[in-house]
Parts: sequence; structure tokens; C-alpha cells
Amino acid sequence: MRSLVFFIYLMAVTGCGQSPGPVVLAPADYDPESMTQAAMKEFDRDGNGMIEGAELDACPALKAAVGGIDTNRDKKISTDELRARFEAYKATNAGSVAVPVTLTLDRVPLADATVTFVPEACMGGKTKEATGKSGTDGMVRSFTVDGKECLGLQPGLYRIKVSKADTNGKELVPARYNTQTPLGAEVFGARGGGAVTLSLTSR
Amino acid sequence: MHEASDRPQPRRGFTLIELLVVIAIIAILIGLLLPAVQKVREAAARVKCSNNLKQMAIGLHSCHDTNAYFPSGGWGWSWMGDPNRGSGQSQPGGWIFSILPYVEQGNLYELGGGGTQAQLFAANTQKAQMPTGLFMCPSRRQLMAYPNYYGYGYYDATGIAPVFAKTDYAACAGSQNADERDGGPPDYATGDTPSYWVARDDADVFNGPFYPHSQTNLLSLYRGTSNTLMLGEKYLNPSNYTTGIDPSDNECLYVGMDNDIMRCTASAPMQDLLGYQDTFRFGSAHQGGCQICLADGSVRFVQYSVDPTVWLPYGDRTSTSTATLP
Repeated sequence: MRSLVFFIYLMAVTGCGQSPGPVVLAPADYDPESMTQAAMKEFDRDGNGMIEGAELDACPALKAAVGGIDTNRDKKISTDELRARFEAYKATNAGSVAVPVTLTLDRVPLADATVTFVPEACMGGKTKEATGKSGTDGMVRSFTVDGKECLGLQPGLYRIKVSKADTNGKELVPARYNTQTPLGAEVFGARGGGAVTLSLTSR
Repeated sequence: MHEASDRPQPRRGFTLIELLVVIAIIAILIGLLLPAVQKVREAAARVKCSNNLKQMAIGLHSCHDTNAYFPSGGWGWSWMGDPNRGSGQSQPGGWIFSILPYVEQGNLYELGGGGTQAQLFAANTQKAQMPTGLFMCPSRRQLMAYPNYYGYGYYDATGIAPVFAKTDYAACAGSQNADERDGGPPDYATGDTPSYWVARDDADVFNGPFYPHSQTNLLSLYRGTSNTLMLGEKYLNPSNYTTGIDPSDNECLYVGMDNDIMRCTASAPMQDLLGYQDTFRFGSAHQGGCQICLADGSVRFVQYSVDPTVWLPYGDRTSTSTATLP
């Protein structure tokens, strides 16, 4: 029923061409159970049903959002807590979530850099990759998904790649931020914080 | 004697066509009337909403008159409020909690205040479930408590309330992407330690009148009270008006610093749009624009088409911009 309402709404927006600006994406078709299993399989190295301590370093998005996901405040993400979070992604029924990104390199705003949000493997391919370009103040204000400018990203766990090439095509951002990137964010915001601050260092 | 006719009088009645024509005319008249009624209802709701903002503004100024500073933004999303801790930096609850006594809600404010800490914590769980009409916009949703979807608790409340009272209004935290940060200090002692807050000072992002652990006054609004935003309606995804799932509508309204009660001017206000979730900007369910309240207490209607470069400095109390709203 909800998807039907959304479909009609999307048809109205796209069909009538009333809103030429950024679009709202359709909510992703999440499968909380299989997403939880995939995440636990990938990140719970010691198999104790908890993602904690050093295990969180393997998933920067979970590490950033642990305050919101960990509802019993034990600093560990249990299977149930993670499943509840993924169920909230589904229940919130939002296709686009506003993600203000602030990008700095050595504390100076980094302009004209390409910021790519790549969904974590455990999202099961349900959410889409998004790219944005930073402005002169280092803020990324809009994202492109499937070639269309959109108001925001689908809720989910993302890894973030940053890249900026000069006029000769030479990469200006250290390679670790676009190959083995340690950057990541959860796009959702319930007690987790929705704004993303990327403070890169050249050394 | 009246003349009785021998012939039976032909009975006067309606033909089917006549009846249908009458029904059609009535239907057209009702059709003309209904949109007018709806418009009046929306206009009434909008006036109620603007009145709400005005009352809150008067409450904030009364609070300022009493204490010489505006109420604090509160500690964090894991705190509610304590009526025995004033409205300054030692108050864990947010600005909504602190203005309660100044908007005729003194009894609600004092609930649990006269007893032990355990009694206060128990009362807070009750308080979290009690909605107040002043903080709800009638254009958006009914006055009632909505589900505590995530099962959130607070450091200063025992147990978990099944429902939360909500707010449709937010104070201005700044012109950057001011975001809820954390749950706040884990206990009262830590929250009363100045060094805890010095380490967390983030004046670049929180440049508005209200932010975590704030204690601003009229003099600190360098841009002038008529040019600084104090309150406004908050944006909310229509899918989640009644579900309590939206990350900026998931707490009870007495919560400390949180996106539920704080917004920023980094992006222009927007009308509630189905499927779009935004925990940062102002916005409303009204057509054409949303209502805001400047720090001088004047309630204004800001169109969604407002120039973002004019709108942005209104959130920054230190801005030197001379741009003014039309």
C-alpha cells in the first residue's frame, strides 16, 4: 500500500514535470534479516553475536553510528540492535535523507572534490551509490544517483571515497581516501547524527 | 361550501428529471462550498500556529527577563529535565522544558520537582507522555502522544515510556549544519564539570542562540534581535507524522539538545515532502512558506522560495551580513 502511494506520487512528480529540481528517490526495498546476517558474518570476527571494540574499525559507518544503534548503551552492537536499526530504515519510508557533508584537507575546506558514497556489501545491493561535488566552502550540497540530481541518499551504511584531480588529471587527495578508505557514514540520523564531517590529512 | 370537483385532481409531483436536476444543483453548490471551508480551516490552523510561536517567544523573553539569559539548549539526547536546576547551563533539559513555567505550564514543569531524585525520575517518564497544544501545529497533526518507536530511555527517567509527546517547533542552533551530537554527560556530576563542556565547545557550528550547554542573552545576538532567528517550524517527512520513526521526531519534546527541538539555517525552509527526510532545515505543512519567530519576538511568514543566501545569516548571531528578509 505504501509503495503504491509512493508510486502514484512519483508518477505525479515525474509525469507532470512540476518539480524540475532535485528528485526524491523511492525507498529502497530493505531485507532487515538478511542484511543483519550479512553484517554479522562480515564484521563479527569472533562470532560472539556482538560487533564491538576493534571489530568496529572494519566498518566506519557502524563505528560512527554506534551511539544510535547501541540502545542499551554497552558500546557493543548486538544482532538484535542491528536488526532493529535495519527495520527502522525500512519503516521510516524515506527514499532521500539529507546528508550535509563538510570536507576539509589539513583543516582547509577542500573544493571541487568528488565524494562518493558506496553502500557497504551487507546492504545487499538494495541501496544506490551516490556522488557529490564539494563547493568552495568544502560543503557537498547535492548528490547524483543514477545520473539524476536528488535531494538526499537512501538510508543505509556507506563507505565514503574522496577524490580530486587537478587539470592534468593528477590525484590531489592521498590514495588511502579513495582506495582503502577509512571513511564511512550511516545515512539515517536517529541518535546517530546525520551530518558527515570528513577531516582528511595529507600525511 | 367549497366547490368540490367531480374529477379527481391530478396529483402534483416531481418527475425523475426534475429531482435529478435539483440534486445536481445541490451537489454543485456543495462542491463550491467545500474548498472554501477547507481553506478557512487551514487559515485558522495557520493563525493558531503563529499564535503558538508568539506564545513561545514571550515565554523565552520572560525567561530572559527573569534570569538575564535565554534558556539553555540542554545537555544531550539522553536527558530530559529537572525543575530544580534552573534554566541555565546546569539544566539538562532543552529550551522547551525551560520555558514551561513561562507559558502557563508551571504544573507540568514542577511535576516530580518537590521530592526525591527517584520520584523525579518516575515523574519524568509520565511527563514525557503528556503533550501540550502549544507545541503542536494543527495543520500538521493532532494533539496527542505518538509512539516511542525506538524504545528510548533517558538518564533522568526510570523505565521506558510507550509514547512520547512531540513538538512541531524548533529553536535555531546556527547557520552551519548544526547536528545533535551525543547523549550528553553520563551523570549530573560530569555535566556540572566545566572542563567537560570546554572540550566539546564547537562555536563554529553552533553559532545560533541555542545549542548544547548554551547560555546566550540579548547582548550576544550581535546581528540584532530583529535580524536573528529564534524559533521556527521544523521540517518533517509526512510518512512519519504519527509513527515516531523520523530521526528528528523520535524523542519526547522535553529532551536536551537534539534535532527534535533544534534546526539550522544552512538550507532554506521547505514544505513537508513525502519520502524526503531532513533533520536539519526548518519547514512546515503549510502551503507556500513556513512561520518563524525572530529574536525580537515578531512572528514572520517566510516563503519556501526565500533566497538561501539571505536566509542563512539569520541563523548566525555573529554574522556581519546586511541581507534582510523581504
